[in-house]
Amino acid sequence: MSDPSDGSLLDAHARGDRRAFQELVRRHEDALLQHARALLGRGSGYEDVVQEAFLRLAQTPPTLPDGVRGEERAERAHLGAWLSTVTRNLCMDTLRSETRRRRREAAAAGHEGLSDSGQERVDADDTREAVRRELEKLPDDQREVLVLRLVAERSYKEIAEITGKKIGTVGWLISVGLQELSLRLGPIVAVETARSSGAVTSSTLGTTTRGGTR
Amino acid sequence: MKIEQELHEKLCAYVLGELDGADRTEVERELLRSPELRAERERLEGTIGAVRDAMQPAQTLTPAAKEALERAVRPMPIARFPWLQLAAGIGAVGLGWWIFARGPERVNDVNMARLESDAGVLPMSSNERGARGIAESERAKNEGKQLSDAEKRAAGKKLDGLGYAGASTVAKAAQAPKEVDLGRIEVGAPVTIDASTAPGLGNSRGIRGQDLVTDSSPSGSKDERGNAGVFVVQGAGTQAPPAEAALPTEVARVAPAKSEPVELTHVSYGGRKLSKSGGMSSSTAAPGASGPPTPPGDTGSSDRWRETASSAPLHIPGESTPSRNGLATGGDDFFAGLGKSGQASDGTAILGEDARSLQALGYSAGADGDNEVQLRRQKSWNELTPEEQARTIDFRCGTIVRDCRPRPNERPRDMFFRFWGDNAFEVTMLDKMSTFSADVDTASYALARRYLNEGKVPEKAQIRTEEFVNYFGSDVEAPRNATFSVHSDLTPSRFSADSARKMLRVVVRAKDVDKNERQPMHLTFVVDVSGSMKENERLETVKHALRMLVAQLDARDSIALVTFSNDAKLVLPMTQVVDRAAIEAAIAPLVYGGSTNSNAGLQLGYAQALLGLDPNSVNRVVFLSDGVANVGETDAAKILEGVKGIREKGIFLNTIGVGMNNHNDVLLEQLADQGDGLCNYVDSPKEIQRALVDRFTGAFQPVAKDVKIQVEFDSAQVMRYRLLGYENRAIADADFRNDAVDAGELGAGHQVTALYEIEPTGKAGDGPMATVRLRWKPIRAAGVSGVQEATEASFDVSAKSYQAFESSPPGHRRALVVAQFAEILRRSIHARGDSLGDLIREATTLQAQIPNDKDFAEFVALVLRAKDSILRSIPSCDELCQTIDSIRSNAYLGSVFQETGRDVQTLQEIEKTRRDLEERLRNLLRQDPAKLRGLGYAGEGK
Repeated sequence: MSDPSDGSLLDAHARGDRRAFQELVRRHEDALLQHARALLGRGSGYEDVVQEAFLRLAQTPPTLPDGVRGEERAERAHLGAWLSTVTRNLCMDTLRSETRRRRREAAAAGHEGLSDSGQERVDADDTREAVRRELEKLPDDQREVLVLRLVAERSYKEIAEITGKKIGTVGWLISVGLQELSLRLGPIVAVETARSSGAVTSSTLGTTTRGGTR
Repeated sequence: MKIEQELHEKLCAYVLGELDGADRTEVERELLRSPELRAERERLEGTIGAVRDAMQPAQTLTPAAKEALERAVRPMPIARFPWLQLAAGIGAVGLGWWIFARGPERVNDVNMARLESDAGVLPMSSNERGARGIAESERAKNEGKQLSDAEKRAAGKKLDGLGYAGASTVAKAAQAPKEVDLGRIEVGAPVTIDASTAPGLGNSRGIRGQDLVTDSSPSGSKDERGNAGVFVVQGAGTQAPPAEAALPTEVARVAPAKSEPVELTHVSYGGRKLSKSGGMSSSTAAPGASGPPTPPGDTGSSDRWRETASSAPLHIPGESTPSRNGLATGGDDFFAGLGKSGQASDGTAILGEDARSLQALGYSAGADGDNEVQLRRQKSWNELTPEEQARTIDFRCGTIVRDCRPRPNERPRDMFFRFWGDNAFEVTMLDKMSTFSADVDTASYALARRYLNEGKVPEKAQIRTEEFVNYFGSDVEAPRNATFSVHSDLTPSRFSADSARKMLRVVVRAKDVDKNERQPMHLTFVVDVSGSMKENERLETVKHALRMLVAQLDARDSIALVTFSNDAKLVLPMTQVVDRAAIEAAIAPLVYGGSTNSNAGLQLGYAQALLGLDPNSVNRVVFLSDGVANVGETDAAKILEGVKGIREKGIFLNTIGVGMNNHNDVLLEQLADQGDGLCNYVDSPKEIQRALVDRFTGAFQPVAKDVKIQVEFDSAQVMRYRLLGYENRAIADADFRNDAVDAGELGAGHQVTALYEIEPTGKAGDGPMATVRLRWKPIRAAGVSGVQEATEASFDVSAKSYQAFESSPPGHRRALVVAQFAEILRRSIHARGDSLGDLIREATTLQAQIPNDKDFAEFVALVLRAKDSILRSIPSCDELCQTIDSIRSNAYLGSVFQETGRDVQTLQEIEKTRRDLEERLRNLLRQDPAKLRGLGYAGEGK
């Protein structure tokens, strides 16, 4: 890419370049928002957490270590991991805070309520909604690790650093999480991919969800 | 079938691109062996794709949030400090300048243009040429004409990343069943097969007309009503599967959709009749009315099919094993069980052939609590709204395209390997060193030979080019005083029509050791006598090998014999090879039986080797097995860890594999790789003679261990290079001098060949074209522990250059011919467009010149015999396949350019080309959605 690396943007920001900072935000916001949302759930003010993380970046940015400096990909990975760690810590603080928890539960309940009352679209073809729902049903640590990997594209090693878990544990969480998702998403994935490929796909059997996809 | 948790973790890591080295090899081999694992991989890829897709579109902070953020991030008030403003101004300009000037040394434009044209990506003119080349060849193929080899090669070359096999390839006929509209059964609605209603009566329409399913079932039979019946899926209940029943002979027949959907009402098979239930047949009343999706558990639905007549018992063709509740089961997977019975979970049995027919009709199946089969029908393409169709195409395109993007921290060469499973050409300026571990295992060739002789074609991952080449005897003179000598040859390359490309052969030759001068041997044989050794007389083969080996030994030597099945037993303690009768008395009575506890065998073996350790001898454990360990520790690394302390006293390992059908070469290879040893396969007395007798000193008398090879190219003379083979033997350049890194062992008389395809710059240089460095540890007396110092030697490659391939030494030509064969066999991207016929001609000519080379004569015969099955196995590349390859090439090129540093314009062009290609992909799929079916796209180096 001809674009400047994250490291140079950080430098530019340090010199007062606002556009450089905006660019950094633009580059990292999706991954962080998805991560925070995975941890806190939707409607829980997870955007605030990410905003706070960027604020910290602006005020006390990390220094890129020697081995990382100068290599664009490594800089990106390092900064991304730093931001993810900050985001995660902030999320943990949030989770611990009483007020937020109450708010979060209310939001979750509201969400549940929506689907019960049928106001939410029941359209079976809305795969994305279905996938997100199933993702949210996963245990927190599995969901977090999966989002970090599949959305933010962090390596196992980075995920281990961000979450403070061992690499082996990360691998295990991913495996178990994917198995669970495969089971639940079976019919949904099958419909999508079979519809598109018409060919051999596995897990087309509506096993866990009796009656399958609607 | 449940996959073991640890393996599943590795599989996930593999699919996510996180696996490397031995683990990756292990997973690839397991994938070869296990259809369940392959099915799980597909499942995982689908789930991963769905999750990624669900996270679209990218999230952003709201504008309000961004504004608030900006306000909080107050930049320094510049106005107050004019000098600061100036500095900021310079900073801004500097940043801009930096963007354009950054990057390490640039490869010059001419060379880059060649890179580009080879990748078939840019510029437009080379694409056009390339496209014309494809068109010509395709036309020729269709007309049954044979393109000349030069033409083929020219077409092949121009499309380095695109291409197709030679004109003599038989294209696999597409087997996509036709799409037929079947009616208004909702997506996801459960449908159970029910009693038959006569077609044509009442509101239902009859079924007649065209075949749907293709090769497996003959058409033409009718049921008693005179209607061509259709097959089907049988509600299983709890009946036990029958022993025999009629094979399904019916074919699904459904009237092709014209303007109205046809309703499937009558289905019968093998005496069973199924149809839609009468009663609440609201669905039959109003064609066109979709109705709401059936809620779960609604047993009154008119879309339910139930069996009415139960006559012939259930038939399960193909493999079937009893399941828990007495029903036949097969693969886990409804669609994957082609030709075998598949099992829906919940214990419903599905007939294999029918599964395929069902699939063609667009059904998938599940079961509800009543153990009735529920069919769920996927909408056919024509039923989807245009938006849905577009979305499906986008989804599929998205999956493909996402797969062609770089992964986190992925280097270009890793990306290339991920796409095509082959080594990439390296740009010398970026990476001038090629480092790998010496490998003299020959298993890959022996195994491939066995497969080909049985009319099968081995999988790509099984074919290791270096093992093919190294199978053949040495042709270079042995060093007289040193441990190693290095020799090299340079000729025009056989791989491409580009006459500038050359092949460099680097040969490392270990010294000879005469049989009489070899060291004494203390060999501890560890013999597998488990039940699996019964098959194909494996134990007999092993005994024969033992006897042949012992015949090579004499009074200098000693042997011990350990056997293992459930556990290990000492049969003969370390004994001098003097009383041969006693040794025979230990070998002869061995019988098979029990399970396979390899770990116990090796533990006892190493313990015996330690007991009999002699500092002046070569001490080795010789492990003979079919590799199917199933008890105790089965992981090579862990097994070796258990005997690490003993091994470090200087005990080597040989693993000798027998049996080729369900034997497991992974364990044996890994044991040898990690345990300082060699691996051989012996499937016949002839191979035993060759590997263990003729090459006895090679197999048992080591001359160097942990041998690493590093070739450094001169970037002034060599523009790009590619190493053939050694994909699994790569060592990080930086680890060349890291003596803790394990590498291969070389025995007496071994010759290790490394072949490089080279693109010269055309300029002469001051020094040699390349330098070869060898690093190894000498063999020291056993019993001494501790880290050993390595020795290094350096050799200039001043290759003798031959103008014509034909004038080079026979050994060189033999190596190239064998290597090219291996590359064609493994469907290497670099061998695309190469002609097997051409290769055969070259090989035959060569064979006439070296008539005494029996191994090579056998090779030529093998290639001739296997030619047809090989050609059939080479996939042809249609436009869709080419487009996907172009997308990959583009991604790879972009990645390379990022590394070399390119100007903005070029990178933008790459970006634009990528978008164009993605658009082309979408268009292709839109025009012909049937292509979506054929996309067995997995993207993992197929």
